[in-house]
Amino acid sequence: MNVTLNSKQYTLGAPLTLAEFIGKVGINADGIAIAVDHKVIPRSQWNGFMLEDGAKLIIIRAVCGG
Amino acid sequence: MNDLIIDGHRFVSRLFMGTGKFDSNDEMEKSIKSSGTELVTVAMKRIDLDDKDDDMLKHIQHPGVKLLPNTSGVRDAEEAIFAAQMSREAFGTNWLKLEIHPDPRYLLPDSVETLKATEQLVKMGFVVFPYCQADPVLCKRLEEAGAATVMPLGAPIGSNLGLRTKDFLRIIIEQSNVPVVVDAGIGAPSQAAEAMEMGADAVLVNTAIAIAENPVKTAEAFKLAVQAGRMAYEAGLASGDTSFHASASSPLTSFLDK
Repeated sequence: MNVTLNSKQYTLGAPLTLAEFIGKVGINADGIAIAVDHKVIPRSQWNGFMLEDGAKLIIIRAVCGG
Repeated sequence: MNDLIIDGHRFVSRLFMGTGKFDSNDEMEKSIKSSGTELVTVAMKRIDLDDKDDDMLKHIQHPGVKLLPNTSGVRDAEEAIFAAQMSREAFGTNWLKLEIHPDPRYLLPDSVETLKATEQLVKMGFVVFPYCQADPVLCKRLEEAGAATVMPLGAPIGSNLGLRTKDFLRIIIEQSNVPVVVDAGIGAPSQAAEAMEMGADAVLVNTAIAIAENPVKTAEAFKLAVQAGRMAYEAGLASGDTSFHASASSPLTSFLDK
């Protein structure tokens, strides 16, 4: 199955939860927020949230700004 | 000097600082320290997995320094609300600098979308700091919508032009029941001092500090200027009162009255 993260496509061998996916891709979970299909997924739900085929993820973090 | 209170949070420093445009995170961190600021803005971006030095938060998360995430990059109220939800999730704060400026050339805030977003975000429990035009009528509307402050601009973002909107800022300060934070355009400590002498509750400075030859020293100069300006205001500076009134050039007949 395929998911996209910030417009980049990833192919997953087996279904993963959101928490498993960010661990696999190697993203530091501190200070980030995740939306799946344009819906913000609270951190408390990452462990149980199964990614579906075609899911579109947006992950943001802080950057310098005024 | 009186402390500033926003949403129950007490600030001794009336200088808010942006974190953009510094040459390095190290310089930014030192400038935050020398400015004495207790509120710094951050923006959000999509993560870049190839950038290993992608985490700037550790440079600004110090005791006594509160985060004010902004919505820079959004073009309308709908995008702002999505960004706000992401921000609350990422940073664990419901404080938000709402900035909606769809025009990349002058970065001027869209008043209609800003008011619309403020109304909705307040209902969603956000503490909204709207970056806005120096428009006294709009600022009242934002206040009525529940904004925690108003943040009228002195001049376009990053222009260092100073208080070009001075006469309108005076009216906003006179009429506002929420703190007025002069944001954008302040290019020198003297201009920050002037805003404070006029009775602004705080100023937000970024570019003028970040691109100075010596940002750390400039940050300290702004700190002192903001203190001096506030002190003069509280002391009842004689030249501070330059009140004026509009004088109608059309008859204010009530032709719509029934």
